[in-house]
Amino acid sequence: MELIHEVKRVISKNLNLPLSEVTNELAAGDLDAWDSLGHLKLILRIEENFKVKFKTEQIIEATTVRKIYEQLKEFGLSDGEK
Amino acid sequence: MKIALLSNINMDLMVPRFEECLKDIGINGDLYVSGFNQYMQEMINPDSVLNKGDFDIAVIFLDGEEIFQNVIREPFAYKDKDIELIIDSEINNLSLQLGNVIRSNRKLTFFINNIFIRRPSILGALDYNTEFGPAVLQERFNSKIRHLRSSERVVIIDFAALVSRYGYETIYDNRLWYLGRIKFSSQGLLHISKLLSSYIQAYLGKSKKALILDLDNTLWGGIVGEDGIEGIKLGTEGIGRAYYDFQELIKALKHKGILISVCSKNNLADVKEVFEENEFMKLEERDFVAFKVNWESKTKNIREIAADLNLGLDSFVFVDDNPFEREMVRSELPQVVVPDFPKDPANLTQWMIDLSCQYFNNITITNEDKLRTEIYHASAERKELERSASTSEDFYKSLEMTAVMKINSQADFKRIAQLSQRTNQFNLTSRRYTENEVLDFMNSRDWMVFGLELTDRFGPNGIIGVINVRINGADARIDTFLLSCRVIGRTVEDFFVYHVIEELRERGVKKVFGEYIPTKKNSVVKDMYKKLKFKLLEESVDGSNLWELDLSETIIEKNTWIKRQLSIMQEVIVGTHP
Repeated sequence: MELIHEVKRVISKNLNLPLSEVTNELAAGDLDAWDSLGHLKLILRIEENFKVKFKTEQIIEATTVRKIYEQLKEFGLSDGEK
Repeated sequence: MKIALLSNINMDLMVPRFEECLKDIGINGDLYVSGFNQYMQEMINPDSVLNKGDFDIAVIFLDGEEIFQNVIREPFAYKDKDIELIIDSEINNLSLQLGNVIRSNRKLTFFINNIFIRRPSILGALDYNTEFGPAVLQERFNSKIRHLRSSERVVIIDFAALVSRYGYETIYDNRLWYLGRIKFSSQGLLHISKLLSSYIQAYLGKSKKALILDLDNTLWGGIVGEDGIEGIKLGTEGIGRAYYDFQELIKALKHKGILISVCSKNNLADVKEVFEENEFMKLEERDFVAFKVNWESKTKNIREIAADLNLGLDSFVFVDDNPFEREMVRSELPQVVVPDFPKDPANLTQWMIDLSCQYFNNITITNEDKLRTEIYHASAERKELERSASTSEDFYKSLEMTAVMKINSQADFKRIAQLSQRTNQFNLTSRRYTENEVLDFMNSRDWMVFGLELTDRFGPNGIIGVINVRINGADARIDTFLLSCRVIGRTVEDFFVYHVIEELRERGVKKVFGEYIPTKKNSVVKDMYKKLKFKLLEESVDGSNLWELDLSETIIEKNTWIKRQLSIMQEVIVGTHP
């Protein structure tokens, strides 16, 4: 599966939001579930799913769907790989 | 089950993990998490959610580094004696508030952790060599928090052991601390959830009761049939020591009340020789309650062990080094817990300790626990006697039974609660009571708790029967009536009921009501009240029914097989019940 789709799937599941509503630009603060605590929860789930560990600065940076995807690419994850 | 989680740090993230772990042990947890650092307020304020909320359990999770943050931040500002005072004031305050809640709330039990503080501190070597230093915070606080256990309604959770087991780096997450005042990592929260669940499981008496062990490459290294009794790896030197240590741990489990069995594909003669001739065998044949050494399938043997011990399959943990055997048991007997076995025998000790903490936790220990294996052996000898006796009358006589009926005996509340949690077959109503509830009944004017202690020629059986009665004027209702499965079929129930009824009669009771509530496992007592000559009053569609005995007609026959030794009477304490 493409990396961006896998990212969206994890986000959709954890924010309890239909996949179609998880756009690239969906951002922290757009939803009640994605508040500051929700953000930490989400990043922890992303870390578990992709077996990576974000630096503190990366957690602060990764505040939209697209930015989470970009941070994951920093770990060498790419499309076609889980 | 309603559970409150109170803390001095943010524990919100633990909720889903904790709920999942509770579900794994069959508990549907209804969780309330108090506001950040509100744990003291929750206890002090009479209108708080905790005090108004009808909770079963309150977990107080304390972060030591937060409690003692001032000392940790400015270590040179505090000397040894200042630290002592700070710790005392924390403990006293906690003890006072816990005491207040416990007095005003009859149901709630507290689970409270000992603390962990990161070490070494910035002081390094100064910590233990000068009058300064936070090193002593953790050990002093923890040695004092232990005393809170003096109330049966406070359970101490060994959190410091969890950190020492898995390491600071695994349990804590420094990023989350700076971003959200959350101390623990995902892993850490999962470990803490598992730890709490296992304590709650133990508190509810739902821990596993029996361990079944393979022999070759499990209790010793190698295969006795091939390597011979002197060729197997077992001893005090080298890797044989790993198996020797493993056996010692199993022996400790036995003393804790866990029933140990053998299930091995082997020649019985070879195995007997190892047990009798190998000087390094820590375990002896009499440490086991079942010895299945044959070439039958393990599932068949496990089923037989369960039937012999009168335990459900869900009470067992099965340990075997062979993945094929494990998979077979897992797929055919899914109720049995079958953990993976360590690949390196050097890890056996740690593995066994982890297993014990997960499945065989107790938070109290009764005399019956310590003697459990011996009690089972006596029971097997009894069965042998029964087979050889010509009539059942002869059998009852030859048992030479004596019984002590104990009324509201506070010394036995733990065992009585344990029986109410564990007994499934001879249990008329299957109502489950915690230790606190049993104590409450004993202290109440409206309730009487009868315990029956039985001894016979094979030794003591301990408390094996419980009848709880609720009295309302001249009416008495039997709320609980149970007997341990070990003494079913020995006419004990007739004796017990006879004496309970005589006791009630003396107290002015005119009518006794008895209930039967059917479950999957208690059909053996379906007609109990009919046998005891109670009259049927009501019958519901679900099969439960209500019976009445009019004491103006003495009907129950006195059982003559059991000699009543003496009856210990402890007066109901008047005035403690509101």
